[in-house]
Amino acid sequence: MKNLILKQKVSLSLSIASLVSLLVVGIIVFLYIHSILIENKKKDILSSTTEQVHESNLIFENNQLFAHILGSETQVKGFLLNRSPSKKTELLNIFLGHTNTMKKYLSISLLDKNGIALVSTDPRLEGQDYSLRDFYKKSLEGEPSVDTAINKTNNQFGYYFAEPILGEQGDLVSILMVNVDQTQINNSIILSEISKDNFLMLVDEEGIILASTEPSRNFKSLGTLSEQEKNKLQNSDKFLGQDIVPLGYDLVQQGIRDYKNPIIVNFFDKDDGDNEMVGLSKLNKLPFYLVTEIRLEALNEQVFGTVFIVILVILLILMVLSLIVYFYTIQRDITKEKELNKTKTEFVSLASHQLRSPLSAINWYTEMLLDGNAGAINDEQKDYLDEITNSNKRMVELVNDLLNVSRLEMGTFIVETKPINVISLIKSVLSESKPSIIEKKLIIEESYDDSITEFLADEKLLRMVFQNLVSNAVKFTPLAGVIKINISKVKKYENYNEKIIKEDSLVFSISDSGIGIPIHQQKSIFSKLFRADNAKESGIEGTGLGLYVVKSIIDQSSGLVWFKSEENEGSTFNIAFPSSGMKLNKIN
Amino acid sequence: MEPTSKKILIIEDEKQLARVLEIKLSREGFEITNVTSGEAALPLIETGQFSLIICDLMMPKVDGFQVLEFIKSKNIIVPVIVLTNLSQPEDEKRARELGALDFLIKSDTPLSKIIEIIKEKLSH
Repeated sequence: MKNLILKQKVSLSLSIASLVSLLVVGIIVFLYIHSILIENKKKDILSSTTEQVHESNLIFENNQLFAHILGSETQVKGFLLNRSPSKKTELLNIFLGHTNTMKKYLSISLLDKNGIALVSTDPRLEGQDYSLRDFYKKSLEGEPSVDTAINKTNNQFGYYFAEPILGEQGDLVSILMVNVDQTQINNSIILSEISKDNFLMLVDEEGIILASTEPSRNFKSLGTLSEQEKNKLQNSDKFLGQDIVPLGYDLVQQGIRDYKNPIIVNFFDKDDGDNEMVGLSKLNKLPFYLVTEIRLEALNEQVFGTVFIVILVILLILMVLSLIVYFYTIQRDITKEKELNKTKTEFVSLASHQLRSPLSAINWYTEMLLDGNAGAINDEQKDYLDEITNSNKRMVELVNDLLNVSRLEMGTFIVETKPINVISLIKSVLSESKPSIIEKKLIIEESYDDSITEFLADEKLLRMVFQNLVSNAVKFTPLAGVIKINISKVKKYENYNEKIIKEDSLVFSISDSGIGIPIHQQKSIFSKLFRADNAKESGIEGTGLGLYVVKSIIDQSSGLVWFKSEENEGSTFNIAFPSSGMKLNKIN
Repeated sequence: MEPTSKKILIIEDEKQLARVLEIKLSREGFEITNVTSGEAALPLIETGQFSLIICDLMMPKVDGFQVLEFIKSKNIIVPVIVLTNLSQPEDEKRARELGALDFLIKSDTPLSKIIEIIKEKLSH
């Protein structure tokens, strides 16, 4: 009996001891997980703001595309010098087409070099003088820029994105001006993922909120302003003469003044009486900042909830198993992303099938005729059939290029590597161009590092890169010209064709003695659909997609591409991949 | 050469393409059976009478992948050349995993090349 009581006492004290130890473990785990979750949330805020940057930059990129649609610099100059009513209508139609499809722009206008609007999708703007605007000054310096202003004609607040169009000597020929409604930027912020539980503000360099998920805060200041600053801002038409009320985010204002990197500040909001956390990042290329605000209270509730559940689970496991085990999981539903990827892949499949089938039929039936399968043909008939074959071949190439571009742009493509022999690969690509090489009596000089055996690469992608570079070299080199191909290993910090290589790499270079790329067009050579003027004038066929594909593949598979070119002398294209091989570059 | 070694089954739903393949291959001395759907092909394949199959991928109802799956599941030994206009690496990988011996893209492959490949496969 006594023994029994003793046993009960022992087991009772053991239970108390185990409960206490569980509690201690619980507290330690709580503190540990709490700090991890807070850190993760902070990282989330900063990475989401980078996506916002990307979105704003897209507007600018579309603008550049638009400048491209206008034509070459000479054509723009020609248009500005001799404007005829018919040309103007034509240009307006392009403008209108663009506004209808994009719907993001209030207006698109072309200004002359004095800042006067010559043609615009909004006829009320024609003849307006923009030479006093900040963006005009920037354009004179050749810089693309953004300005905020109220449009006095339609009385709407908006952003002006200005893209200078420069002449051959770097002089200002014209300015492409795109007016974006403030609500468009607002909407894109509101629609963005992060605004669901956070508060976002687009802030200018003076700390004034230009757009936000809470419109009542628009045109207020993130901090204290001096009387002088206040007067200046109230008189400026940029801020519609509104009262500038400080919101007490002094630390954020400080962050804007000495901006270096994205920052996160914890602070107490006097107006709301809440503790808040703010992330600040500068929008790439633009004079704006994106400020993300999250209430610490809300964050704590969220974190506390998660931590509570995790601890409960751990304690239960501890009790059941009497073992010390802890874990936490982060889950994300990716069903939608998967579905979207599937739709994209299916689209490319369908497009390739529909576009290629009729081309295959043309190819095969023409081949039958040429083979004399429907009776002997005479020389003239053969000549015509050859023309059909060649045109069809060009069409097949165009379709192949377009499909490659859409795959690359949709981001559905994968980098699948295996050890391959790159020297055999380039030799096989060269043999595809053999007929042209023989016909043009080109001299091919190959030099390969003997020690290269195998390299980890995606054979299909690398082949595509080589095919484009080799076919360009062959196409643009005149009769009896020289093409040099080199593959070598380069050590970290060595110089290869005027570039310091940052890590041990395998490098490829293809040089030709062709027509070269005019110096003023070299910056555009990797742009989609771009063709240099001398290439167009030479009458040599091309889609303007080859080098774009090359650059996209190399960027997305952790490689580098650079070139050197001189008009009428030739071009050298260089590629470097880390010795460890090609791999998908997650950043792109 | 065995008596059956010239019998080829072409599974192709586009009539224009099926027609030109049939004419050209018949002229090369092959005995061609044309079907315009994967569905119609399955019972024919099961008879085991063909020495080679040329198969399209994108077809309504029973597509080329399902044809390949069928051949694999029934353990039928017959070389299959996929002749398609799908060119995504995933498609080629999947077809090869299902047993396709070759993967040719129609718009990139002349008839002469197709014949060359068929002859090579049949000579093994």
